[in-house]
Amino acid sequence: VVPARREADVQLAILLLALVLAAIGGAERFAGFVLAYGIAWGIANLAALRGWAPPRLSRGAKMAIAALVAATPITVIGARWDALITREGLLGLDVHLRDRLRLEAVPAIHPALVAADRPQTFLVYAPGGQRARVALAPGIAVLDAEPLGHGVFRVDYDPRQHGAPAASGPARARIEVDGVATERAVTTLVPLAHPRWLRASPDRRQACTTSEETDELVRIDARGLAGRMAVGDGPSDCTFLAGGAVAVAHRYAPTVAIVDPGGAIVDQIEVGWGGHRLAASPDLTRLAVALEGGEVVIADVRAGVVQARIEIGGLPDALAFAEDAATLIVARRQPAALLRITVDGAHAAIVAERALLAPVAALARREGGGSVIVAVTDWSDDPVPHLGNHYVQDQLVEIDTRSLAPLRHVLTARRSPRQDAAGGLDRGVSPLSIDVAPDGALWVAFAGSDEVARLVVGGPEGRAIDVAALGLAAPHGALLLADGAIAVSSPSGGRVAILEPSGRLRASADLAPGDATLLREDPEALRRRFGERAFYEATRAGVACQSCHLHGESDGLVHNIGGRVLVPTLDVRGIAGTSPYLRDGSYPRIGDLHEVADTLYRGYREPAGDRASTLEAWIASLPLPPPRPERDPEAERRGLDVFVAAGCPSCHAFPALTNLGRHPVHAVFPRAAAEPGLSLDTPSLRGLTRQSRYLFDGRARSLEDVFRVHNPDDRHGRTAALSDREIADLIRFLESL
Amino acid sequence: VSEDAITLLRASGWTAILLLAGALAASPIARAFTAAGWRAAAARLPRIRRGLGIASASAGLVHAGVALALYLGDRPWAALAAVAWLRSGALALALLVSLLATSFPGFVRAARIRLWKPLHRLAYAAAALAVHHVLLSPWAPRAWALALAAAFGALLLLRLVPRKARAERREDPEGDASRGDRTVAES
Repeated sequence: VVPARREADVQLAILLLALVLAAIGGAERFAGFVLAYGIAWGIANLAALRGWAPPRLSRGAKMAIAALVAATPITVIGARWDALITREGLLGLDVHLRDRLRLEAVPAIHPALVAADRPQTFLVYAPGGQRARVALAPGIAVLDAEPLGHGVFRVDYDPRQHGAPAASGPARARIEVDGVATERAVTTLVPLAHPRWLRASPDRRQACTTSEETDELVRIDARGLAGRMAVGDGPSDCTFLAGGAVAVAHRYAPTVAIVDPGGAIVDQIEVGWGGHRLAASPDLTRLAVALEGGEVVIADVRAGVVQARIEIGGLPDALAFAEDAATLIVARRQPAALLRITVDGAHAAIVAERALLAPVAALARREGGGSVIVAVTDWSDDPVPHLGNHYVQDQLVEIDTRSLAPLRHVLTARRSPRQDAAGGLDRGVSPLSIDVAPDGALWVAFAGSDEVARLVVGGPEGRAIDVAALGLAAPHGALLLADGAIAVSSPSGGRVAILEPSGRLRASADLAPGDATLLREDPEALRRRFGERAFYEATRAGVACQSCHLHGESDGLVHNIGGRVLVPTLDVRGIAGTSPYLRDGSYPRIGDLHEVADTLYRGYREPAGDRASTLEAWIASLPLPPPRPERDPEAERRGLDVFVAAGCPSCHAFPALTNLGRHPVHAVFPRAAAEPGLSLDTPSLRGLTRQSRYLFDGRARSLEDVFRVHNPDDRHGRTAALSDREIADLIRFLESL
Repeated sequence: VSEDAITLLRASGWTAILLLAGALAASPIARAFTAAGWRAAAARLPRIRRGLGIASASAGLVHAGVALALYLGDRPWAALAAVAWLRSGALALALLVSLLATSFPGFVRAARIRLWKPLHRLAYAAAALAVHHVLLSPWAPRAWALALAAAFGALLLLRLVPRKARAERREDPEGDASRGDRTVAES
């Protein structure tokens, strides 16, 4: 029997033995340590039964022995500390706790990012509150929040009406609920100019581009900047019309503006909200506008009216007129397809459709309109998608505009002599714009490999100009001007430049401060800029973030990126503050996603800087896409009632529509064909309508399917007994998020 | 997962954890009572501690039963093995059940347990695992989880500091003589 006075010695002996056993046993989980303690206790108990008692030693001797015995196992266990932290889900726990505590502290507001350049919708959660007002940041008017019920309030913010923050950085939002004011931390963002798509005038003496973030139309000519003028909210694309006028589509205004050469807006054509891409017919009499809501609008330029509209069943992306003003080729992003649309008076119809394995990243019309060139990351004449693994092969495909059949192929992503790793690719990655020059050659901007290249489809290998050194990293636009000069745009550089035919810089227009200025005056903006470049930058596998997350959005595909389960590509806009990330919640910080590029895709083609940190800074600066502007407040309120009654907020909690929790897959989807150990991150439901695939494996093709088809066990909310009307209201509510 | 199931899970889980916190608080409270001169009240606390411990393990069993029946679905064991917060919850319960079994003198004698206290100190390991469980579980408010972690941490400190003082006193031979020898199982 062990005397009580020796109890501490016994306890110490058990602990030391447990440490040794844990070290020998390779414990990397709490269970291993508990087991080691249990075995040590068992041995000690057996010894006690046989009359063993620890020897009497002085305190100093005991401490010395304990230190000697413990040193090695502690070192061994310490070496496995990272594995323990990872296996027990403690990696990045601080980030998760910070995000979750912020969302749990009511009144809570989501998102915590206030962007100065676009309308945003915020949700405030104040249970029991009847009336709420919010001052999002200094410089912004106090806004009345619209009560939706169940303590949820909606705040529609438009910087043009309500004022914008003056500078980027941390700020305090003031939330007043029933007269009681509370402050919450937010981040304000005043983005820099981002010139994206370049369009040439018919005579190629000028080019135009827009900066959506700073509401500008920019004209350039062979000498450099020719004009910089303010237009409407969120100018997303532009194209030349007759007489040097330029048409500008707007993302956050319902109009296409016609801007004369002097910079004056001479006409506005009402086309609808969400102008995304724009094309002019060969005779410059018609405009085709791709709207984010899923419509393509055809407008008569001279009359200034809309002639026809057509719903295409997904987001219309790049588009071009084909052989005449009555035929149009549209690239649909989700589900990916090329569509041939004919316009006859007020009637437009899809007359041909070709499903694609990956959405079109760029599209250009060949002279005459008999074919278009598209840039894609995957192509096969076999319609079976490449589901086996994350398949990205950048390529250009020339397609007949009548039959939509492929005519020619050019694989662009390739290896260059500067790569020494087997299979390393560092050329021709992420083509984002194509210009068909009068001689038939293609001028292509490769954002992934920082180059502008002249290619001849079916001809010899082209020549490339490395543009990163010219301050034109991740170029989005490139085209040939009349005198042989090349115009190049770089959104992340905030710069448009004119290059000599040799590739030497002739002139540049800096629409945003340069890197050196930002380093001095706004280092955070520089971090975001570097992060944006990293997002577009190719890895040695020829894959960039951009390859699947198109400018931050989803490509609408499912990929196998880890051998576990096919997962739909996520839209990364607005994900900040919702740790953990990825479908399985395996990454606690946004910056950790860099590890995917660094390991799975064999690292970046150039070693440089702290990409994890800068990538996080940039992704965290991407605001949530605004919900569709069409509102039906009554249906949305009824939908919220259904949402609450079905128990959805238990996991999709207000205001972020996620509680950041993780669930074993079969707890929610008992019939899912996934390994039982898989746990799922609860996704936010905000920005939901930008998806075309739903649920963790993308099996649901519509929100209705989520409830009607893929919830047979009623475990993903109680939706089995909902009426058609309730489902419709629920969907309307979800679409308003 | 129905709201009723979530309510049951929350209620049973927090009951188990708060009872465990109560059991662990009993000894420091008893010492505080003794220091304040409330010896009779202090003398009752060990029995209350035992009751709280038994109730905690029982509530934990209810919590696990509800989780198995209403939350974890048809293939719970793989999820329990693979998902960290479920694993730590299961492990905490396994420890509490072990301590529950060894809270009955008959079982202790039958199992020939001599080192009862080192075994029952696993209650602190169970508390740590329970904190890990609630820190990562989807429905537990994180502020509560952090408060719980702070409470368990404080209880552990309160437990360690007087131990050290007593250990120092035991170095004194007179102290040993005055207390007499007791078995660990009896103390």
